[in-house]
Amino acid sequence: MKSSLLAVVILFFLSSCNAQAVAIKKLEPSTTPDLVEPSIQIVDMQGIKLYHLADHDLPLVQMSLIFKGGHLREPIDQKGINQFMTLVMRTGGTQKYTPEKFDAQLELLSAEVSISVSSDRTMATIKCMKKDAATVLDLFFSMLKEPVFQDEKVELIRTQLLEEVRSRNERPLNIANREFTQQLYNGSDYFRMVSSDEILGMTRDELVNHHRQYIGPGNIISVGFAGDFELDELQGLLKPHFETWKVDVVEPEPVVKIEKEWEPSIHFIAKDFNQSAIVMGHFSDTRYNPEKYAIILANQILGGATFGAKLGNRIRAELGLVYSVVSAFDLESWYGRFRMVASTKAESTSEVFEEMKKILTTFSKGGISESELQFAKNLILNELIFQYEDPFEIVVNRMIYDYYGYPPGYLSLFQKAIKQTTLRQVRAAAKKYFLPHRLKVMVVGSSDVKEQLEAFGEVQDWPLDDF
Amino acid sequence: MKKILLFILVLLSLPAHADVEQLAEKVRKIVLDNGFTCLLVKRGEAPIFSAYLRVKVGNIEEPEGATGLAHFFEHMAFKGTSNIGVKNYKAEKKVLDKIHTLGSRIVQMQKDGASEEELEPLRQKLLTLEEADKKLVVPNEFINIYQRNGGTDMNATTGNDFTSYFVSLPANRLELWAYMESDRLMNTVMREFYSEKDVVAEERRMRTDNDPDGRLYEFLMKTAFENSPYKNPVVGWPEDIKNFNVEEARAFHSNYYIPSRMVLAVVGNFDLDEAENVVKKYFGQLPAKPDKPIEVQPENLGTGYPKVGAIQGTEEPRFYLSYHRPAHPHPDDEVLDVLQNILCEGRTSRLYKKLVLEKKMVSSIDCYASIPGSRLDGLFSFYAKPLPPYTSQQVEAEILKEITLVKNTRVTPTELEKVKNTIKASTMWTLKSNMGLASLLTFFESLTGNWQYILSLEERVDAISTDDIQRVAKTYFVPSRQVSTYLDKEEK
Repeated sequence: MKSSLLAVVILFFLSSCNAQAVAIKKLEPSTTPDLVEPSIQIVDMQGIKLYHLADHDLPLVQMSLIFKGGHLREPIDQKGINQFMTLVMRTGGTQKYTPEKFDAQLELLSAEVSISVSSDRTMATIKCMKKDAATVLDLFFSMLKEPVFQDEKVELIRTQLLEEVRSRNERPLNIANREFTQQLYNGSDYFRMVSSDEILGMTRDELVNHHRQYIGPGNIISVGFAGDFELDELQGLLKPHFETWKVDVVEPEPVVKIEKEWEPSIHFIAKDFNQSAIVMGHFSDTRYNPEKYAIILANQILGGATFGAKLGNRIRAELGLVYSVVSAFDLESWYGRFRMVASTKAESTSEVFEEMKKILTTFSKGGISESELQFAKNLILNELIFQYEDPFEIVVNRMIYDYYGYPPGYLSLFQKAIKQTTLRQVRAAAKKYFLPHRLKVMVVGSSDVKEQLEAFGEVQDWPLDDF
Repeated sequence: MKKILLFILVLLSLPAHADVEQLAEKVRKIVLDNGFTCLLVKRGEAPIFSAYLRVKVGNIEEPEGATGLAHFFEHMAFKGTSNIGVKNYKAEKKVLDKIHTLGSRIVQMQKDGASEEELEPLRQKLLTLEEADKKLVVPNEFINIYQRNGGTDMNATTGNDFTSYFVSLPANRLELWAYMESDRLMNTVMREFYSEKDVVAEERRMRTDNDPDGRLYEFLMKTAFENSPYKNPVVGWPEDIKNFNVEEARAFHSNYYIPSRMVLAVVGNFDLDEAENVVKKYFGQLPAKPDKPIEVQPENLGTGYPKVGAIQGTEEPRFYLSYHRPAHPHPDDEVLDVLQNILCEGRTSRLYKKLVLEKKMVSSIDCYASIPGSRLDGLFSFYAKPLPPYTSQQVEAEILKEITLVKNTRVTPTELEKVKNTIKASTMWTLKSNMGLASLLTFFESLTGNWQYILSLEERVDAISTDDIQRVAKTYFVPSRQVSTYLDKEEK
């Protein structure tokens, strides 16, 4: 009787404990939302690929032109020229519009024209109300085709760029990430930031020549549009601008070849902060690696977010030593970086350092469970639906996937590949691509932190770049 | 605040367009018996939704000596509940009770100046209890549930005025979300209370101690306000963070996390009737409680003004020039927003043209129509970093000249037209985003008691004249309301 009663009590107890787990499970759908890519029309417009997605929800339009270019594809003896040039293009006036008139027109319409430079491409974008599209497109193409690089504006941009340089050493994490990158790429000029001397040495003639050589239809990868125009209306607006844009351009240099070689090291920068920034890692791999799905899952498990990943679960949730700790595994067209990044008070630098290494070591030796893998899969798969939230983002993503040679319907393929990746594959990827015994480390903190790091090996001082 | 008012103004003054007009009709407002307010909007194609819960509690409600409690509570809200994040709450509660009894004792002893020798053994005991608690906890379960269900934009934010919790999810997770959010409002547990103080301390180091803008902003608020709770940083002063005790935290939650202080907006592609039923089912359970509004003494403007203060740093110099302005809603709100636009917004703004283009004293200039909040009297602020060889004071002097100009001369019709167009366009763009719309709807519903306050602004926007702008500039941009705070570069 006693044992029966005990069994009943135990069962009741267990069922109460599990009642809420059951409630959650009941409310969690087992299905992942279907990915249905809206129908993007892709047409040839005078040799240029045009992507069009109609969006009649609101009377708004957005369009981007993506050019070959970027920081890694500029002549190395003209480092920073793409950014300098694009900033002056935007602000320096055109043959048709003075800088004042250009800005006045745009701001009166509350429209945006922007041009930005990333690693391997340059993107020029407009954002405006439908009723103003013709006017804004005129400004936009005038900026692209016939900028005048007014002297005064060149100097203004020079001043602004120099001011940014002066602010580079204000925050520990900014310093640590930057200097880690420089260390990893062995001081390569492609992967360091532009210096004051280089900014000061850039001439107007160089900017003009660079524009003449590289900005033209021949270097346009594609044009993408989402908004309140049908395709034929859009083509009607764009055609006159492309028809009169006849220039010969030079293809930018390919991204420099990176040798995936490095030596482990610990470097330290002394600066008076009460919080240390720690970046540790090494080279990653490329987007063309067929094992990339396993790598993506592995990184998610390790530190894809502060919560729900090994690094954060231990170092923030259990130990309370950080506010944020994450890992990132670049998958670019060249060898990028794998990094683990954390900030912690000066006194606990070595403790966090040790924990990061320990977690990575266990992880790389197969310390990944099936439940961790399922969690990572669910997170990634269930978030995919948000790639379809904004029509313009859908178009730009498609343009970029096509540029990198991904097959059509890439997101669906990605979804399938993630689902099919096994624990064995993820463990293999963790072992092969995440290397705790070959870490490069950069720590920025107060001078007394250096001694803490010496427990982990030889610590070399790294000079703080004052550019 | 500027963007939010601009949003309202745009909505009002837009030419008739089917979608904007329909928005007003699309918002389904539900007020539950317990005072909880919900705004539902169906829009978009993708089967997703964004949910934004805004609670009218911020550092305004913090008791003396407990600055940072609202923000700390936001951290606690992610630790789970008596249902989520724990293997056995009955067992955990016993351990938690011991943790809190001991923790409160330690905090009191700290405040009373107990020595490290006295405190250390108690801290060790606390650690042992916390280790025991860990065995009963499922760490991060609350967040993990959202994550594995595709929760994006998942976060929370605490400001001076509000604490907000938001997430976007696939539409078939609506009920799951409602269950979780209502559970954490009703059944929050002060779990990992003492260890989380360390995390908050790290956050403070990152955002304030080691960030020159963070330090200057904190100094500005401390200088500008004597009586207002706005004088305190949202993250809290370090000594207060160290001394949080659980009784204060529980009282804070009990007093202010009440349904009548909550506004929820859910925007996305879902069935409205189903959503309404889900909201009623889960949030209707929250017990109604009477509100306890805070009384705030007004600032003593005039005496001791203009105020000037400076801190030192190794970084490049920068400063804020600020003027006390009234809380929202106020008849001058939109005019101050218009002034912000005319003075600072874009390359055609007056200060950009003067300081950046003509005099080359700065590379950029920013204005904020209402910081750090809107519920109480706040500040209209200018922010800039002087370019060598200029000083902050020299730049400030030029700003003051422009302010004098705007007081004494009319702004041009073109300037006014630009502002109104800016307002119109920015609303449109906000309407494209589920989360953006949800945030704005809750803001105005929370601040004014009725999101349709937006609609009543239409006449005021169109009626803003150049005389209004001069009047408002003359009223607020005066020495008796002026506060200057600088970050000066230390000599090497």
